[in-house]
Amino acid sequence: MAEELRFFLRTALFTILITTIYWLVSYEEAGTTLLIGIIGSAVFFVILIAVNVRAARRGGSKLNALLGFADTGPDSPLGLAEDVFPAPSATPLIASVAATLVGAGLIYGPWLWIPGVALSLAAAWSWLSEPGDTAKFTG
Amino acid sequence: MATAEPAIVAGAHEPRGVAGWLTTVDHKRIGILYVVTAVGFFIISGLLSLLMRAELAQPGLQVVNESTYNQLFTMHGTGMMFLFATPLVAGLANYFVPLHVGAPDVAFPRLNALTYWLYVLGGVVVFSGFLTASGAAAFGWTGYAPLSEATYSPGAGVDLWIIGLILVGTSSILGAVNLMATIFGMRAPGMTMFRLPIFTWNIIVTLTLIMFSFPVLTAALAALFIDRNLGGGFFDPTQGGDPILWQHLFWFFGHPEVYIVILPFFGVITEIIPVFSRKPLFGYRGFVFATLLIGAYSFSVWAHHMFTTGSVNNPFFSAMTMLIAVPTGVKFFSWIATMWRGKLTFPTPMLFAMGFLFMFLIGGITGIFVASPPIDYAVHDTYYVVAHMHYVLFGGTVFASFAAFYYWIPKMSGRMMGERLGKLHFWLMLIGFNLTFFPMHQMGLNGMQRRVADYPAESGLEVLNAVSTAGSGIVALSIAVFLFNLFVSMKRGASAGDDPWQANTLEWATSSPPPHHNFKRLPPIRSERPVFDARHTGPADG
Repeated sequence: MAEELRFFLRTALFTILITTIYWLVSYEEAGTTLLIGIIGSAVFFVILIAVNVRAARRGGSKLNALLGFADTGPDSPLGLAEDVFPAPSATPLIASVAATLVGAGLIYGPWLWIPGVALSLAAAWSWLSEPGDTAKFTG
Repeated sequence: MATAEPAIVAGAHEPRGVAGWLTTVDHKRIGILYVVTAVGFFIISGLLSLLMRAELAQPGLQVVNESTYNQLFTMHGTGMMFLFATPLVAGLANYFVPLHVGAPDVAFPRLNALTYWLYVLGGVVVFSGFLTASGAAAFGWTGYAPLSEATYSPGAGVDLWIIGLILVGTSSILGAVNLMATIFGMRAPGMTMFRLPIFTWNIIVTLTLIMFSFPVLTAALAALFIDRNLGGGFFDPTQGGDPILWQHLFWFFGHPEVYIVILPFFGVITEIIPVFSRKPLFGYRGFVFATLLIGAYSFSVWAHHMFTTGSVNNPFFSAMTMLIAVPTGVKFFSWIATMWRGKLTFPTPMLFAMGFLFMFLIGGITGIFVASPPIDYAVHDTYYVVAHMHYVLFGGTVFASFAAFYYWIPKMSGRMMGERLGKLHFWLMLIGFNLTFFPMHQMGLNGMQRRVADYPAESGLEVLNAVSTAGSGIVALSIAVFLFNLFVSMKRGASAGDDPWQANTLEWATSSPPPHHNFKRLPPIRSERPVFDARHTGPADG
């Protein structure tokens, strides 16, 4: 079993134990709900990793390709398919300015959403259309 | 085993100057940006604390009024926790995790740049509250409802605090996903999970805590914003809401947050101590499992911050809090056993590591005290808790941060930091820190309340406060020494070479600073100390 999978499996099992004890001693709803959220998150990762490791060991899958994972052997069972490096880009900066303007618009008025949404669209277009790789690592 | 030789097919060209920094997607440059920005927020937040200490130097109001004082301690805590400590972790992890796992970059470089810019702009938004007519947020970094509701804290400063922290929190979540994908998906051949450096193991647990806890904070902040601006009633009892719910949500994030800002520095110390003891880490696997256990326990102790509400199960949270001392004790044992009969040397990084051990130990022991509800009832909201928290977070995180700086800046810059100034920095900080915070234990036991701008004259608190304020000035002086040392070292520091400390982990197998894609050649990885192995067997022997 991949250690990555064990990591989240242990987290899920430990949190199930703690949640059970906590509920039995407190019957407190908010904390129990939050702990159940942790269990759900950990189980999600267990399933995600298990599906991918299993599929990778069977020669890859469409899900692997979709998520960007591919098998590179036991050292890194979730190895990324290829290491491609994007060129320097102002898009992340523009996207974060857009997010800030949208957030500020919630305080100072929707007029700030106009530049915020415009910049968001520009950033999204740029993010999707910029050339992906000026350098490719094949090690 | 053959030496792994990654090949770069084409080179990426970054613009020069400011444009290069604004558009970079290189994990090392983003790591440096994170670290520099975090240190900037550390200095700003530290200056706010100096104002507070100046005000408390003697009874009466001399420097600021109560309203300003409330803003100062709120923004000091917010700045240190959200804009210094957590992003500093992100910066160090950004720079060193890809190097530690033998990867050429992070899994999603553009996303990495986005997380940095969200953090910067979020921080600016948070601090911009000072520019509003009503001032910045003024209810403490914990933002307790109903004090943070519009009725008691009107004004845009609070809303800016909320929106800014949502941006910063989003940045942290995205960054955690990115780094986790890097560790799980981009390890070099031979780098199994149990050959990862301890720093990276601690980062894995930290990233998990971020992924599981920051969404809770983000949701709580969104609910608070809705309460304040859209007529919601999540935390308003008059509308059926529950102010205790805020405390549950906040501390369900807030206690893991303490480990988010301390576990990576356990990792830093664990990289440094073996190097300057000339021994392998004692009990690698035990150390890893202790880290996992601390991470797991950290989600079951949140309500020890809420003992005095009377709304939580105190015995459960007290027991869990005391249990967390066990894996922490395993770590201390491991550090001490690593040093035992080692060939110890004490350059500046090791001095700061020793400072961390002693200061964090004091913070940990007082933590056991306040984990006991009867003691907590007595000292809750007093300076005793302020002292405890600062021994953990300043004595722990800040001392270890400087250990990391002195240890890794030679790798990041190619230049050694000045040793004499480094040692002066250490001793000034150690003395100043203890003068500032040790008297706070007694202030708390004498009943001095935290988050109050004044205290009664002839209460027996005057001398302790004067000593504490003098100590804070010495801490500020020590930071000035560090900045001067950094400036001089970057100009005239001796060349670091690839591996100035004769260290163990992969970042020392490449040049200082590393090339764009990190490694021209990787040594064979057959243990958690590949560079040590290569040094003693030769890379060709693989």
